[in-house]
Amino acid sequence: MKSSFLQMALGIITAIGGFLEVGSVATAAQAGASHRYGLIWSIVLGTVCLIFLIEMSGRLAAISRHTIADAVRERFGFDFAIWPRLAELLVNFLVLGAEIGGICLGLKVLTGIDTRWWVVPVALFLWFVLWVGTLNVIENSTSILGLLTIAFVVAAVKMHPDWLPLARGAVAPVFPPRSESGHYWFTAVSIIGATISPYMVYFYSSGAVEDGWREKDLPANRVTAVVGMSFGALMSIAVLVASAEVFHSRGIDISRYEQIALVLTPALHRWGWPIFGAALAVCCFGAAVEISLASAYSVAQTFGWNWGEDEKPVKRARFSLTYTILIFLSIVPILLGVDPLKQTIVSMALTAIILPLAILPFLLLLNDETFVGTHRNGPIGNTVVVITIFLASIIALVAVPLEIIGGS
Amino acid sequence: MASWDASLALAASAWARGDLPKHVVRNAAEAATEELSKEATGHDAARALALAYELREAAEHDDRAAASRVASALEKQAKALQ
Repeated sequence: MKSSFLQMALGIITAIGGFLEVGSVATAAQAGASHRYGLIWSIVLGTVCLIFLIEMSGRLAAISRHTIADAVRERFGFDFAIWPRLAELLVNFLVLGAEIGGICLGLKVLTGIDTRWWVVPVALFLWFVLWVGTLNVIENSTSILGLLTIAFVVAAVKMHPDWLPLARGAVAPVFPPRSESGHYWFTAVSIIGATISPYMVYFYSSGAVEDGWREKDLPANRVTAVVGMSFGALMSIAVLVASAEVFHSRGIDISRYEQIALVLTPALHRWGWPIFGAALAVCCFGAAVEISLASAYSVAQTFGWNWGEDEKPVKRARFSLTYTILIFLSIVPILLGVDPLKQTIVSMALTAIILPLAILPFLLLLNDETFVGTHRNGPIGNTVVVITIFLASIIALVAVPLEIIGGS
Repeated sequence: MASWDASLALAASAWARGDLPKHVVRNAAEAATEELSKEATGHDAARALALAYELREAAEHDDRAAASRVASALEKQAKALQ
């Protein structure tokens, strides 16, 4: 059994190293390039909501010993539980494809070998790691390597940002001219979608059940959620700030990953490109692991199958089959030539659209004494989460069609 | 178009300073060529495409002096278009 301190330290490292993924890198880079510091508030808002959700999912697991999907099925029945799962699976399929695309792009930056040559080997490697690895080993190794993302903070500080406008952008929207407002709000909801990603919440709850959390783990859960996610958000903000300093000042709008690859070079010089390539590949790999497992967890828990990453694959065959199918299906769009950056941004906005469907049943459980006893949600947590997910979803419903048809 | 001129200028000057390997510059030049060919037409687009081609050639032949010249031309064009 790990000591509480070690558990907290690992949780925080996991959150920092695992926070950035292809969605947060792409959306933050686009936001910084197009709107300078004007969208930092959306990272802050998404992170506050995520802190509440992560804390809630750990609390549900520790008190009820149920994962979210398990508890939703038990409380609302299979006929209801299947719908949020289907919506999530569809979004996870797109996001997983985007993450695998991100790994390939990171490898392309490092080696110069084109993305399409990496897709199948990367998918096979991901599948192999999930097949033979255990949850803690995979999670901790990718997260520790993910600490490379601290380079974004170093780069952002080295570029001497304007701290006052930066602070203003963190607390309130800085409205753009009317002609840019469609893209502004689309990027805002994409950032919120990338930050709140329901798969993270489902993954955290399944991991907590698999690790056998109990009531005594609640303080560590709270510290991990607050400190880990806050430091993680700092990485996203650093990407946005670095992008603003490098791209916005030069009038560069981001439309391809090849442009984002230059973001660290002005500050870190010859170390910029290898650190960017490695950080992108490692972070996306960590996220791909989480999405594959989170999807398999929630399908298995909804259907009542055996599940668990630490079990041998033969003992949870349908669980393993689920992530196997998902991994190999998710690479089809990349192999067909879908632009990875567009897929990333659209999948983040779709994540924002499905937030109420994915999160509301979970929120009801956290207010149900049958599951959490005296550890029910307070009014602040409920209010922050409800307002954020509905706002993000409504804005996304308006902004996504506008972005697709190219209007503003 | 100004956005791609500025992106290529950034890549070209970084490569000329030795901060980037040539495959990263080549990637940027190829991406610019693809995007500009899809969307832009006219004299400025033709010039941007020609500069992207020159940059790729400079990278292929390890000609950092040529890359510096391309970077200046791209910066000038980006400023004129902004």
